[in-house]
Amino acid sequence: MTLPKGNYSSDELKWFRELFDKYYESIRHFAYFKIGDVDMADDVVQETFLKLWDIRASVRDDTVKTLLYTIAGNIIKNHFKHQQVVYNFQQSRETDINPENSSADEAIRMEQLNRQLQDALASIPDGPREVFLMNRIDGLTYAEIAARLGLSVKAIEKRMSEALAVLRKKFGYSL
Amino acid sequence: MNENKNSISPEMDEKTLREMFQGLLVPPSKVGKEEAWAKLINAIDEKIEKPKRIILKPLITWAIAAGFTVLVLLSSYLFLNQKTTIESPIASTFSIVLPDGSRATLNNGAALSYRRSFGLLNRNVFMKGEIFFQVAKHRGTFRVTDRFNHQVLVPGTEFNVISRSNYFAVHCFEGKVEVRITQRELFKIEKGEAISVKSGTINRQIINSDFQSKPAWVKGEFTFSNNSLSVVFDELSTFYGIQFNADGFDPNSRTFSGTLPVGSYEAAANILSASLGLTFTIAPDSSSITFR
Repeated sequence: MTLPKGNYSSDELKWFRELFDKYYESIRHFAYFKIGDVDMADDVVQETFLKLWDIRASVRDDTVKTLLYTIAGNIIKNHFKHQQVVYNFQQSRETDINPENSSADEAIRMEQLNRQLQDALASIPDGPREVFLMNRIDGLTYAEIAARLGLSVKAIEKRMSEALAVLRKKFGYSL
Repeated sequence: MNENKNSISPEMDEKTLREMFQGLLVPPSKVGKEEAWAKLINAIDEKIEKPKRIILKPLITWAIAAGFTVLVLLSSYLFLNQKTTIESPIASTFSIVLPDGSRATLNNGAALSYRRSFGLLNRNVFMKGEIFFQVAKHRGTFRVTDRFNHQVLVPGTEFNVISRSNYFAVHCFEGKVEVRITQRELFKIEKGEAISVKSGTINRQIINSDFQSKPAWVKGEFTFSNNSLSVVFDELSTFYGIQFNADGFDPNSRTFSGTLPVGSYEAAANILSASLGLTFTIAPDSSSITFR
């Protein structure tokens, strides 16, 4: 950990580091869910925390979580040109999906399925999609997501069902 | 599209798909968390250092530029504002040529001053007493200002200005002149006309139809040829700032031919009384001469 040489207290820096540790991954994921680009997501994380540092004097601990997401959301809205999202999620347990049936053919089939899944995700409207991914990939509860995005749990439920509806239409399944 | 749809086999249940989502991972950052933190701290430090460079540097530059400008303006102001004053020697007239080619002839006791900026930025002169101006045609208006802020403005012409404590008069000998008695009282007079202010009363008059080309004092004498006495009186009144009056006869009925010296009004009055057979009295306060 580099020690900054500016004229601010070590308490401030400690507080900042704690927030960074706590939210680095989830903000990065949030940005990735929104723009589908790892490099841009890294930039958004930088900008978001810099902005938070600038306004640190007026930040309240009970709202800092929502604030981080709001800052990130605004940065993306204002500085990143909206383009077609192309996800490139990685599979953690490709071989585990169907162990008793893991032929070469099956591996290819799974990869194909994965690609389809990511394309289908990209076709979900922005709002419902990020909620869906926060729930399914980051494993956040509806209440957690609601708190982070500054929305009601009801709104999260609505977005989830919208996302599921799109996926159902794509695959003809109940997920 | 249809084929794609079918590639997810019906046997795959909800549980499998849920597992698939759970298996999806956001691709790792190419930067890495600690590197991102280091970058962040660097950016914070830069932000703190930068303002010093950004704010101070232009400030010094601006301060130097401003100081230099002030210096140049001040020195040029002081230089251009330097005043030249000319006073005519006692009991004689004095003539000078101004930087723009105009000629000023100062009567006894007159003074003229102008700044070094005369002829460059303006053609402003300041005066007291009596001065005959022959203004050269030049860029800008020639402006004469006296101690009482009476002003005479001309493009290029000949005129005589008298400025005394209770008397101000302008005679136009050539062209047109603009006379500002006060900010609101503005008069335009032409060749042969005069305007005078005595104790706050403004008097505009036509002096003489075949008017001389120069004031008498410049020439050193008045010349009349068969002029009515009222014209002679008017001219003498205007010239000396003393009222010449007729008592018991009509000055229009008498004429006068000859020259009168400029030296003093008493000498002129003596010649007039002798040649016309009149007597005169001078008021105790020297404000008027009455002929009978």
